[in-house]
Amino acid sequence: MQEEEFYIGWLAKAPPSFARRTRQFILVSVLSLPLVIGCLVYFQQGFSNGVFEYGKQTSLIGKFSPTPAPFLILESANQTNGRLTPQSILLVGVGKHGYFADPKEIPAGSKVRVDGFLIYREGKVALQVKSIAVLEKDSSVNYTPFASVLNAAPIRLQGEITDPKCFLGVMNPGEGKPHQDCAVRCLAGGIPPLLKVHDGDGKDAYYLLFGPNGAPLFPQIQQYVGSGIGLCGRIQTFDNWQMLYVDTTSIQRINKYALDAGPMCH
Amino acid sequence: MALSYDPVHWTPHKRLYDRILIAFIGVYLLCFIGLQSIFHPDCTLETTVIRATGTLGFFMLHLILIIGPLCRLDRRFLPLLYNRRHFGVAMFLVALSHGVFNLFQFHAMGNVDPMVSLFTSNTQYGSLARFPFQALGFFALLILFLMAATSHDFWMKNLGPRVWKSLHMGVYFAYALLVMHVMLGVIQLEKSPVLIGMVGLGMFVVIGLHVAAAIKQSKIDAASERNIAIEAGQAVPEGFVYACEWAEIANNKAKMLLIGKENIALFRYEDKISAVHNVCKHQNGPLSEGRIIDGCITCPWHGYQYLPENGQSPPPFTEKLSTYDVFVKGTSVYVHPSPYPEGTQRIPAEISMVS
Ligand code: FES
Repeated sequence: MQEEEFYIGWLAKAPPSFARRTRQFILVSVLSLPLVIGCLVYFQQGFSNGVFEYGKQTSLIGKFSPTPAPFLILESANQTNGRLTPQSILLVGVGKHGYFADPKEIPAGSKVRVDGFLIYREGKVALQVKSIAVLEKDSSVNYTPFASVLNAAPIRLQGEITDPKCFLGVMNPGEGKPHQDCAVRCLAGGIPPLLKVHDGDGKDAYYLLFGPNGAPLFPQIQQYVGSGIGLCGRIQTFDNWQMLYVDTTSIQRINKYALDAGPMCH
Repeated sequence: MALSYDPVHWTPHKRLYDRILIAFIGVYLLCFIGLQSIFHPDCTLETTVIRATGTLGFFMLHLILIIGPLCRLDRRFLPLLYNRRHFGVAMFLVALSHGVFNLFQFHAMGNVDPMVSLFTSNTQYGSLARFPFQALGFFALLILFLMAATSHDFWMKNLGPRVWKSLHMGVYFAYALLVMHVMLGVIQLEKSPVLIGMVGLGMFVVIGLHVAAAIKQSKIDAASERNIAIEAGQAVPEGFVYACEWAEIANNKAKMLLIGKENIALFRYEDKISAVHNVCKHQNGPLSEGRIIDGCITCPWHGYQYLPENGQSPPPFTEKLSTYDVFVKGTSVYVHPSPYPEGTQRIPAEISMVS
């Protein structure tokens, strides 16, 4: 009878049958790589075309509007029918922080020059502020943003809460469960929450969320970030942005892709 | 001859193993990042790196977990087991880079410390679907760290093989945590049935091979017990139990016996028979599947050696096994199932080829 081969790890050479099996294992592992990687890459759901121009500085001049969230309103953006159509740019801070300005140093309505890095997606623009310089101070106490329209009747919306900074382009994907903790951190840092509403036609609409009087909604909404919710609120169109003043008692957890209207709003 | 301490005993095998391992990791990362930039050019580099390292670590863990049962099903896979700890440490480093990238991406530069953020951003510990999956990844990484940090034989000696082995069985707990980490994390966003199917297939292969190996082992155990049950009762010296016919044991090989709670390896060599405890002092390897090489019992897993008459490793090594009395009557071999203290010299039973 032929002596069965025996392998000892510290010997220089493995018996042929052991070496063959080892090679087979390595071969199968290596050959499975293209299939494994191919499937893992190909079957991801895809990514948005949001952009964060990190490292590419942009200088913008406009009016500073601090409420309900800090915006820079460009007055020289576009001319349509002889009328100015300004673009409002949400100002955010570095990292997971919102942008905060001292109202004494930068009163509402002041003309400012902001240097920073643009973040944009689907017509919504934010700017990570690097520095801000006041060009003309405005002393008017009640500055009303240009083209601000408040809808009187509350409406019901359903979607997912995330943060606009990541969602617009700093992170991709900047939504869903994997991004949930990051969104919470951004909201905790003072960035206003963003509600992404899926309208069923494959189109999404976005709303910045505030309390009924424009107060920050964090931390009340911490537990709802990253999952489907339904809520009621009044919409304010603010230039190319939509603000939603939320009735906090109406927030409900739902399937974010549900299309039914849910309970009426009061 | 000077004896010097060598933290890693490098052999050509180990070097080759590590080279293949590093090439495997490099090829995976390059292919993943390359394909991702072709199919998903809008994906940020950070997300690509997080997904590449996460999937690679999880894939490597599957390969690591199947090596054990593969070796039990077919001994010829043993060279893979011999250096598996290098594989484990490499997998931990890949998983660590995934964890660090995540911690930085999702938790750094906020209003609290990243580690505080990790456990307090999502507080829904009471919900399965919304469970903080990153915490699961953290604890899995902690287990993998403990295993990687104690993978060296130095730790095995200090902790003792039983504690060391139990600690390293933690890999199964880490695997369970990681399956949950994936299912409650990225799969909540990436819902492709193919991706979910891949996680399922991985679990099926890991669990299936373990079950197959366990069935094979239980058959071996049952066979060795049955042998004793059938033959017990023959006239034997006081306290001795019939084991087998000596011809059933090939020269320089062993037979495993389970007598009560005693797991015994019965070796035949140079017309002698000796019995030692069947469990290797290194990592509990099955000595009865080993051989007598250069007069020493040689463990099939990593080659630890013991003298059959006293269970002691030859100097300068200090490992010791329990020994048992063996008695041969005619062609039959009997074993006394009470162990002697580890390293106790016993006179081997002689077998007579002309009977
Ligand atoms: S278990 Fe490693 S040499 Fe025996």
